[in-house]
Amino acid sequence: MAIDVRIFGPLRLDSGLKAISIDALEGQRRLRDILLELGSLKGLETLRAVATEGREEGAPFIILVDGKNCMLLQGLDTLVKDGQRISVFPPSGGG
Amino acid sequence: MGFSEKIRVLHVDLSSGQIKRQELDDEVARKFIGGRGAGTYLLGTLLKGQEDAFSPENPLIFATGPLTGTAAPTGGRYMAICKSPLTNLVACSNSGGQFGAELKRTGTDLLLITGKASEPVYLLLEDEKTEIRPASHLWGRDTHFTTAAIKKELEMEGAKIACIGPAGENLVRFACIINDLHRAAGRSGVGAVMGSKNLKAVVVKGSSRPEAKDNELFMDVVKDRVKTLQENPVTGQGLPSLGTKVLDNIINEHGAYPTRNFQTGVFESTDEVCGEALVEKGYLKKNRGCYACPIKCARVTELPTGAKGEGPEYESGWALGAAVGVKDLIAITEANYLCNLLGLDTISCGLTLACAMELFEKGIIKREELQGGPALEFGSSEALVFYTQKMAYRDGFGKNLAEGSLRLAKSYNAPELAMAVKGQELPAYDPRGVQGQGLSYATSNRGGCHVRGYLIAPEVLGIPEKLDPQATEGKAHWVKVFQDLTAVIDSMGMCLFTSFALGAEDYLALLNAFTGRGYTLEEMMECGERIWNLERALNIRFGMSPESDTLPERLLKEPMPEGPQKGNTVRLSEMLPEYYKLRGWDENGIPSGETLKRLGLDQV
Repeated sequence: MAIDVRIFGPLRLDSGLKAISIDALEGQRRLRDILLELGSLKGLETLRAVATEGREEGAPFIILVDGKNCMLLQGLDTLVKDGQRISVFPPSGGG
Repeated sequence: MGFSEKIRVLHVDLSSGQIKRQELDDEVARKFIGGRGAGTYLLGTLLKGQEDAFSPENPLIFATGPLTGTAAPTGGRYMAICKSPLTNLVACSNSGGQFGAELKRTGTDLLLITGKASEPVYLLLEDEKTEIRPASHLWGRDTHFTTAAIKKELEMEGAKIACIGPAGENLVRFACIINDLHRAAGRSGVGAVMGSKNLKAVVVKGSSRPEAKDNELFMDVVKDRVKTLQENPVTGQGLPSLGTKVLDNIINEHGAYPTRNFQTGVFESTDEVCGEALVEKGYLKKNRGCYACPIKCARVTELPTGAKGEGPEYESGWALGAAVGVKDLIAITEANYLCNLLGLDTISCGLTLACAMELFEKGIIKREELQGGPALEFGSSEALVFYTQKMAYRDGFGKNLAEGSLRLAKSYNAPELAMAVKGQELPAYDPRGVQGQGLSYATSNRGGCHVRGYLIAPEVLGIPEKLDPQATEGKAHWVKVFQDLTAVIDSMGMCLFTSFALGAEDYLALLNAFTGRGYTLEEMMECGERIWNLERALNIRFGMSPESDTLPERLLKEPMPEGPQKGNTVRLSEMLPEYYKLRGWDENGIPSGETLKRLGLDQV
C-alpha cells in the first residue's frame, strides 16, 4: 500500500505528472512532508513553497484528502494514512 | 458621445415598424444601476403578468450596463431580458464577446424590442440609424451561416451580430442567442422569444465610445484593477491556462460532479473528458478573450476530425459529458459545436437528454417512441449528437425534448426525474456536496442556475475564504451577499469571473469613477438587494409560488450513493427559513411590505 497523489490543472501540464505513488513509510505521514517531497519534482516546485509558507494570501491551493479539503482537517499537519488519496490543485476558479 | 447620466432606450416595435427613443428617469439609473437591474425594471413596466412568453406582448430587451463598452476589465457584457418560455419567470441571460460593447457604441443603453414582425427580419443599428431589414433568406440557417451572410450582405467593417439558430425559430424552450459566433446569452429560452418575434438577428455598429464622468480617475482605477486581475493566480493563471474546465477534476474529486442525471456525484471517466485532457489530446489550440478582458478563458479548439470551434467550457462539457454519461471528448465537443450552430443552451440540452435517458433506462420511454432514432442510453455518443440535432428542429422524438426536462418528465408522470428548479435545468454541481449552493439553487430568481450566487467559490475553491461545504450554519447570509453582489456586477456590465480576484470595494470604485454617482458601499449593495427583490416581486406577479423554492426530490431525499459525499443530502430546511428572514420576507417567502418600501419597490 501507499499514498496515491493526483496532480491536476496547470501543475499537471507543467510537470507532466498525473498520479504519483508515495511511500507511506510507517503507515501515515504528515501532509506537509508529502508536499515537500513532491516539491522536489520538476514542475511541482511551488508545492515546496506551499508546504513551507503555509496558507497563502488570496486564492489558496486546493488540497484534498479523500475528497475533503485539508483546511477542514488539520491543514498541512493532517496525517495521511496508507491507502488514502491526495488531490492537489493550484488556485482555481470557473463556473 | 460624452458622459450620459441617463439610461437611453431605443424602442423598436416589430408589429408596427415604429422606432422611438426614450430615456429612463435619473432615479432608475441610481436605483437599478443599469444592465440587468434597469432592464428588469423596464420589463416590469411592460408586463402585467399573465402574458404568454411567446406572445408579441412579451418584450425582449438587450441591456448594457454603465461600464459596458468602457475600458473596465471585462466591460463588454450585456443581458437579454424577457419573460422565459422555460420557467414563465424573469429570463435574464448574460453574454460576453464584442456585441454588447458595440451596442453601447451606437449610443443605446437598452434596446427594447416589442411586437412581432409579419415576416422574418433582422435589425440593423448603425449609430443613430435603425433599420428593420428582411431576413427570410436567412430563416432556417444556423448561427455561423447567418453571421457570415449578414456580414457579406452589409459589407460593414466591424459590425457585431447576435442571432438565433433553428432552435430559436422552432421555439425550443431553451434556445439561446448567439453573438460573435461563439458567445451565448444561454439560458431560459431568450432565443426562442427572439424567434417568436420573427427576429433572426440584431446587427450593431457604433462609433462613439462611452466616456466616464471623470475619465482620468476612471482610467487610474481601471489600470489598478487590471493589475489585480493579472496578478491573481486564478484570473491571471488558472483561467487563462485551462479555462473553466479546470473544474472538472476539482468537482469530481469532491464527489459533487453530477453524473447520469444526478444519479451519482463521481464520474469514472473524468480523466478522459477534463480540461487537462483537452490540452493533452491537443484539441485546445489557444485561448481567447471577450471585449476588454484580461482573463481570456475562452477555448479555441480543433478536433482530429477537422471540425473547429470554441469550447467546450466547464458547464457545456459536463452537460454533454458526465450528465449523459458520455466519455468521448470528440463527441462532447461536436455536440457543443452543434449547440452553438443550432442555438441551443448546452446545460438544458444536456440535462434534458439526461432526463430522457433515465426515463429510457427505467423503461418509461419505450424504444418504439424514438421513431427509429438510436437508443437513449447513458454513455451513447451517437444518441447525444443525434438528439441534439433533432431537438433543435423539433423533429421526431426531438419534439418532446424541445420542451425541456420538466415538461418531458411530467408528460410521463415522472416529474421527480427532471433535475430542474422552477423548470430550469440545474448546472454542474451536485448540491448534496455543497449545501450553500443548494440554497442558492433553490432560491435563484431564474431557477436552476449557478451564476446568481456562486457558492462554489467559498465552499469548494476557498474564495474569498474557505467554508465547510457540509455546514449549513451561516450559509443563508453568504447566499444573500453573493446574490446581491452578483446583481450589482451584472448590472454594471462586467463579468462575474472578475470576482475571483476583485471584492465589493473594487466594483464600487469602478462604478463611482465612471458614473460619478458617489454610492457608498451600503448603497451599492442595497442596489443589488433591490434588484433581487424586484426580480422576486416580478416572478410572483408572473405566477411563481414560493413553494418552488426547493430542489428535485432526489437531492433532498436520496443520499449520495458513493464517493466523498456518500450519504449526504441537501439540508435545505436548515437554511431556507433563515434566508427568508435575512431577506425580510415572510415565512412563506413573500417580500414584506416593509422590505419593499425600504427598497423603494412598493409600486412594483
